[in-house]
Amino acid sequence: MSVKFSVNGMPAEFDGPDDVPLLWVVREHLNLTGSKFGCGIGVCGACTMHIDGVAMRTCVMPVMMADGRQVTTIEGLSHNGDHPVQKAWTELDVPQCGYCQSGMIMAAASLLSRHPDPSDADIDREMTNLCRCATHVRIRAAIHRAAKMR
Amino acid sequence: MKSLFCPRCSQRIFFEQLRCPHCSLTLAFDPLALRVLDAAAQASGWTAPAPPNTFRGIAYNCYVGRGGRFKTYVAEVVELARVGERLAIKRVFCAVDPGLVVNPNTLKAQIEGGIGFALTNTLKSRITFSNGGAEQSNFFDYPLLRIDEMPEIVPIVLASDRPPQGFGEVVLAPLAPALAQALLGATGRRLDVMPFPDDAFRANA
Repeated sequence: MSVKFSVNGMPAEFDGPDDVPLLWVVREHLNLTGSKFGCGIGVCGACTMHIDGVAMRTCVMPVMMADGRQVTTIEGLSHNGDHPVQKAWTELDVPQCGYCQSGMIMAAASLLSRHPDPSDADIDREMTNLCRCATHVRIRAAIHRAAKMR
Repeated sequence: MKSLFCPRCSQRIFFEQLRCPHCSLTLAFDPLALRVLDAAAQASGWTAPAPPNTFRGIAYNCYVGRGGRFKTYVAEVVELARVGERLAIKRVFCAVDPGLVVNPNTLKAQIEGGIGFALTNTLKSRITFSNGGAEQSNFFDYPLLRIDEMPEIVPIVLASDRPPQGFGEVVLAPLAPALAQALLGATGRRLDVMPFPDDAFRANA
């Protein structure tokens, strides 16, 4: 079955088994490797992309579910890395090892699109991604900073 | 007894600091050790009585790394607060003397992340074995600390004229004994095994 969708504003098509996870298609067929494979069961959030603007965990999302939808990856979040979340992340030096960070940034951008000035409780509820380096202190600070930039 | 990993590794520091904090401090009669302890104590208001419904623990380690080539001093105060029927980890004060600091921003990031990692090991991430293998297989049965469980962290970095020493995981070892001490004060229960059980955080009525 052929699945047609857009990735970062460009048309994309995948012709193959329709239960292949979207993450595989994006990484292996479209060669956009900013989204990471972490746990493969939708728990850690390293694979987070936006589907029609909302953060989704794509390691457990069959590609057929992306049919006709707009997929945004970390590569397409902004043209020059100047999304407020990316700027705040850079200013506060949030990443340590970095593996979870593209997923964290996508989750934070999605949170801010729905809650432009999130409370700590909003962040606690929405930011469920895992970070082994425990960069959480700076993730929280960067989300508040990004909220002030908008 | 010789440790494979580090002469002052987490297992040893846990029992030393929890069971016998005062004698270990006297034995470790080293002005730099006392300096980090003083800094953590002062920042946390240790010498004044704890406010109502607040419980604290303190622990210290001198991390000796790379076969004795570096020594980094660390002292931590964990502050628990009663929130309803639960005890919540509110703040962690962490004083460090790592010699000359080359990049203060990265050093603070290592303190923050190191305490988060230490809390993960202290509270979660149990590994059990059967039939020659780990029983846990992924994050659904091997949980990590999430952002909602991360306390406020107060880093205190002491100026030093020693050459740069080591940093990284040096803040890990004192966290569990400091937390266990605070829980002992709050509930009277002694904890000996990590990860600490969830009911250790149940506040006494």
